[in-house]
Amino acid sequence: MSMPISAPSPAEAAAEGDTVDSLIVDGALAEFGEEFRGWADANEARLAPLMLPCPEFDERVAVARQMRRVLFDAGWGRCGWPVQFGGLGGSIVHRQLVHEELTRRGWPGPANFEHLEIIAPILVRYGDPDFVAEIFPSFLSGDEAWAQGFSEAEAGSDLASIRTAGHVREAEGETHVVVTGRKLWTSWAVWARRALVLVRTGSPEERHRGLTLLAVDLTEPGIAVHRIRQANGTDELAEVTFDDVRVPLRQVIGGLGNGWQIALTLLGYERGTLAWSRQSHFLARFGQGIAASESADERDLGRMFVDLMGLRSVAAYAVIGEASGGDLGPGAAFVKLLMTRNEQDLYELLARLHGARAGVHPGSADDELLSQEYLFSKIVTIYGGSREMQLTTVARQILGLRG
Amino acid sequence: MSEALYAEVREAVGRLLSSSASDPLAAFGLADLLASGDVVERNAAFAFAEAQGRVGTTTGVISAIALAGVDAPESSAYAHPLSARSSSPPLLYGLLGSEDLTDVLVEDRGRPSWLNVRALSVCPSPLDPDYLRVVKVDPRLHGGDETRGSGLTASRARLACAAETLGACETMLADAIRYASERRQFGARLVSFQAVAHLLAWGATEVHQLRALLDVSLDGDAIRSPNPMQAMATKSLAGRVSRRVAQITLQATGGMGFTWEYSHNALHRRVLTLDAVGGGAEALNLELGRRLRASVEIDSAYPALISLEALAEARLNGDLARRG
Repeated sequence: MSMPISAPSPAEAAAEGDTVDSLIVDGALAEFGEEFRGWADANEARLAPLMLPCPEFDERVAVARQMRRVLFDAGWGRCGWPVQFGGLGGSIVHRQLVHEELTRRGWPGPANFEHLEIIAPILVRYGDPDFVAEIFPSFLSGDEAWAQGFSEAEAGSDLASIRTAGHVREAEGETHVVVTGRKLWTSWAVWARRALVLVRTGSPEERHRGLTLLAVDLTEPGIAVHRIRQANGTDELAEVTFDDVRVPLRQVIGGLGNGWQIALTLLGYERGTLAWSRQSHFLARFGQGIAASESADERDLGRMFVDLMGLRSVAAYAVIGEASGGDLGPGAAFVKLLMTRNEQDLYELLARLHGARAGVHPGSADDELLSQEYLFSKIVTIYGGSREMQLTTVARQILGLRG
Repeated sequence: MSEALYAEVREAVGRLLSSSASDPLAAFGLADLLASGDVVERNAAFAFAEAQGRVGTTTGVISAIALAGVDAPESSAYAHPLSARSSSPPLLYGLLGSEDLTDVLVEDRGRPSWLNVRALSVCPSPLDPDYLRVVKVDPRLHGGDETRGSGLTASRARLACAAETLGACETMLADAIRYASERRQFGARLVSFQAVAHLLAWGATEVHQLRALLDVSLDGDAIRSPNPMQAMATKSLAGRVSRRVAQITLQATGGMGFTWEYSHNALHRRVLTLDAVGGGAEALNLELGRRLRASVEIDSAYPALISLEALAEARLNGDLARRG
């Protein structure tokens, strides 16, 4: 039985003659998982250097890129994406099974390619098919990374206040959206070739109705990316400035003026389905914590475990819902609230279990990574929609509470 | 289990519980459901438990679910230790059943024993006797008749308790939302104040995660083969969520919520009762923590418990089958 999203027809798969394809077409997830575990066992030596913790970001991105390449070449990195865009069919479940198995084996995570789970589904769903067919394979293979440019200095929680302007203009016989403005807190922009950028093509009075989402090539003239040094010592975030940058009309994602709705869908991935890979990482960290927990109260371990299982269930349903073609909608706020509360609770627990290793100057690379993660956990209730905005979403859109 | 099934069963049970039916369990055909070979029908019994939570009543539903598949005498019930200390056998048990019983199954750490109800002495309890009878079990009687117990009764009882707790939490939350939507202070409805709206939103978030974990735990054949650790985790979460939701909803309903006439206290006492039987949240956390540290029944390096593979396989194939 085939998976519901863009699974290739058996004929297409047979033409490819690829084992990974046929696993997807057959639809047996258990076999798919087993096959991937077998492949990972057989390729352990090759994967080992890609599993190492890299606190330094240039190196981390380089290693994450190599992991994408290895997975892409073996077919696993193409699973879960439509055939027409270079994938092998299947759904998000296939992608997450691969992700989780690597995490279980000690993979510290996808670094900037985390955006694959946030941005790529938007490109698939709303992008111009010819444009997406051109750029998508390089995203899957790790050759080109993407960033997401939403927030601005005056538009954080109040995202509809975006000022970065997009003017539709004719030039040299072609229609472009010409972008001028400034994006802030743009994650991973330093290492990105492209970005999804939310711009105002309407008037400020139109608020959320006047916004448009663009796929922008960050190597275009007029774009500058400035690193922002963060409180945890890393420079994952950046400021990106746009000065009369011309973006071809076919790189408008989902049509002019439809940016708000698509941005909300994207945030649904960031707040919702992404929770599966995040909780995988939390579980692996929790496992390390248990191993180092001789002096810890077993009740603390049990309590954290129960919370993580609550999050795991919620995340599993987010992933399965997406695979069924559903839309999490405002329910993504539940996931984000639980994901971030768990993250903060977990790193506090780890800080206690590991003693001085978390939060202070560390020794090994993994200690340093843990320290970065501990400090980073403090802002997870701010980025991607603050905790307060998530609570307001639940109150208004799910519980229907109105003044 | 599908949301549609839950909704259907809840509605049916709601009608039964509010009608004059003398035995809602019999009227609903719970015994038939539990005996059914169909996994979905069997799991509808848990939806019955959840629906019962909405009215804060008590029936032998938890006993019936716990004893499913066990060769049990006709007038029998299930009792569970009220304390989960592992150093000594617990003496006090919560008896989940009606008045006219002959036999009781008690289970201590997976070791089941059938006892004649006359051998048990009923203890005075601060809990409403309608909600739970507390009995004392002489440890010398606790022999362990493995042949007649399944060893999984505790897990089933835990899941049934969690289901009823979920129903009670949903009701407490719905009642509080209704109250805060009507009550006015400073010339405005309470829900218009962000502090109150956010409080209720946290309550809804807690309920959401309990529903998800319970749903995952009931996904397979929870009557015949419950996963013991999953049942413990679900029951533990139910206990903790219910305390948080009770506190949140009481806060939102103010002094009115603390009156005897208001529905809150009945549901609050019910969830405390449910937390007490089958292992309280903290006792279960301790047990889970021990198993994690010793890697008993779980790989503590990556303690996943729940498999996306299996869950998605069941759900997605089910979805496709339903779409025809």
